[in-house]
Amino acid sequence: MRKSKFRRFMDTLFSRKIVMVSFVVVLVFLVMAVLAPLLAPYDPYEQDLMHTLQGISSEHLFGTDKYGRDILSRIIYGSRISLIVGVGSVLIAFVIGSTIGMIIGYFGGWLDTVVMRITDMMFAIPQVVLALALAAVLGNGLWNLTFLMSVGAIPGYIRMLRGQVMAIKEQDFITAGRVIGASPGRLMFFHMLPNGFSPILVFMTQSVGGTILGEAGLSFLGLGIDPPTATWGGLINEGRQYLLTNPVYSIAPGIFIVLLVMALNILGDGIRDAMDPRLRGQH
Amino acid sequence: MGKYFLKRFGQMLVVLFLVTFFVYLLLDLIPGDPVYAILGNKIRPEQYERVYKELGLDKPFLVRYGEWLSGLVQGDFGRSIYYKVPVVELLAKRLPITFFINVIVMTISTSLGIWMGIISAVRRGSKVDNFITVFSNIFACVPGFWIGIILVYFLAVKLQILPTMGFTWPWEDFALSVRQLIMPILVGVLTSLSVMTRQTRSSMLEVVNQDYIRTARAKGMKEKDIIRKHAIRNALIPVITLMGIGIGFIFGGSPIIETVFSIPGMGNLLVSAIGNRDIPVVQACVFIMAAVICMANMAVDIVYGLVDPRIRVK
Repeated sequence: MRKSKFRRFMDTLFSRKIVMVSFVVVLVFLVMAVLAPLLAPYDPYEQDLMHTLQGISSEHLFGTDKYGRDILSRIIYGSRISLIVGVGSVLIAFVIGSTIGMIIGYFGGWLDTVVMRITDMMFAIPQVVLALALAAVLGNGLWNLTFLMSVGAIPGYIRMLRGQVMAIKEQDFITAGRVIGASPGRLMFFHMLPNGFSPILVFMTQSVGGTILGEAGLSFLGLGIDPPTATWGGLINEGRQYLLTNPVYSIAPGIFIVLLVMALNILGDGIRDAMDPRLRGQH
Repeated sequence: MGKYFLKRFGQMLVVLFLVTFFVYLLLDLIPGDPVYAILGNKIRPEQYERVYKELGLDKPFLVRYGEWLSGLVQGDFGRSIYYKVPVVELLAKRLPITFFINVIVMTISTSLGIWMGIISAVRRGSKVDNFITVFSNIFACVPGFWIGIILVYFLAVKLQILPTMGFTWPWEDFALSVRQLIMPILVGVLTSLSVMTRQTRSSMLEVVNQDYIRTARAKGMKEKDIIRKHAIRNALIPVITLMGIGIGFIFGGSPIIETVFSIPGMGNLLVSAIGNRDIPVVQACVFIMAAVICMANMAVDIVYGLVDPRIRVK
């Protein structure tokens, strides 16, 4: 029997051990984020001022922070922020960027010129700096952080979808759709978008890791989410002052960031290779 | 070539103009009254009126923007709300520091990245290639500030061979300057190197598969000469573009690196200005970063046009 397209994709994807391992690592992080209240050995907000800044011990695997809170528990809870911001902002950027991109690619004209100049402008500002400027405007908070991390990625989606729509829109099946009276919106969302979806999906999976790194950077600078909420970047920043007493305070959250981002990147590359095996090993 | 240059220059001006508008609009949207932000809540109404006028808040947005823009063109970025001095004075001290560090990082990371990328592509599949690929994949996942802190922990706190922070110009105290610069530059290079290496490798691999390389092999040219005379020259063209991206990447990293090592540069200024809600400073910093990147990209495109005539015609 012929294997389904999806099965074949999964087989190619997991044919490499490292991709499989990365997939498992990502799953573990997801489980950790969802089940944080069950997995965390302590309440991440409970202060214990008698036992601040302790080192590694059997009670506190990574020691305690400046308020005596268990660092491991705070790291486990921090994974929620990283994953929500990482996945959320990629989705927001995709929705906004692809809608704009399809519209300007389909209709063209002056709107296209204006939007393209705006994307030029956004590419001129480094993503971190753009996010910093937006952080000044929006203030701290989970949803603000998710949104401002997405803004820098929007122009990328705009350009990608615009190019695809421009390439597809003259093809016969689109003309056929138009002839039978499909609206531009229907043509865009039901015919053009699915047709060019695989490169977009690849781009999305590959950008989650980078977004998490960016979020960690903003949290590190104190421009992400206000304390007492635990974020990986924020933990690293707090621990910076206590390198002498408890270096694990800063080092441990970083290891989690590296692990998650690396697994996401390898998985993203794996998905790209499985979708288009010709690309394997090129980048 | 002159026409191409002018066209590109015009494009850059348009983009920069949009940046100014965007930056001004964005920071105008900040919630909260700037007068209270400066003076606090306990002020008399007369005081409020005076500062309100002083900041030009009684004028419409476009008028204020026009005034800000005309000042900017003359090199006047307004006054810092927090430091109470002209923003230009702050920038004059801090911008050179950021430039100095970033130029060093850029030089090391491009030359090393191109070199590693070429080796990796030429010996594709070898141990060296695997090592370089794994190395750059790992460093693409590591937050710069975390590497910085680990370096501080080992080199400054444990071994105590380097100072933890600060910046000194080399002509003030050369030894101290070098010792203070080692860690920030290392972090900058390690975080940007992987972008350079990977890009060079993939563009080199693309070239190696081209017909003219096969032709060169078929006519019996030595492999070394093929790489040197045909492959590298063609592969470096996209790498020039990469330098434009690299400049953006490295400048984007400045706020974090300068915060980790307490370097009084522009990135650090930007971060503290955001914390202080010091809008004129934020506007100036974002604008300057965008301007540097736009100019770098323009320079890159022009060099590109010089090296590859096909670009000019397009």
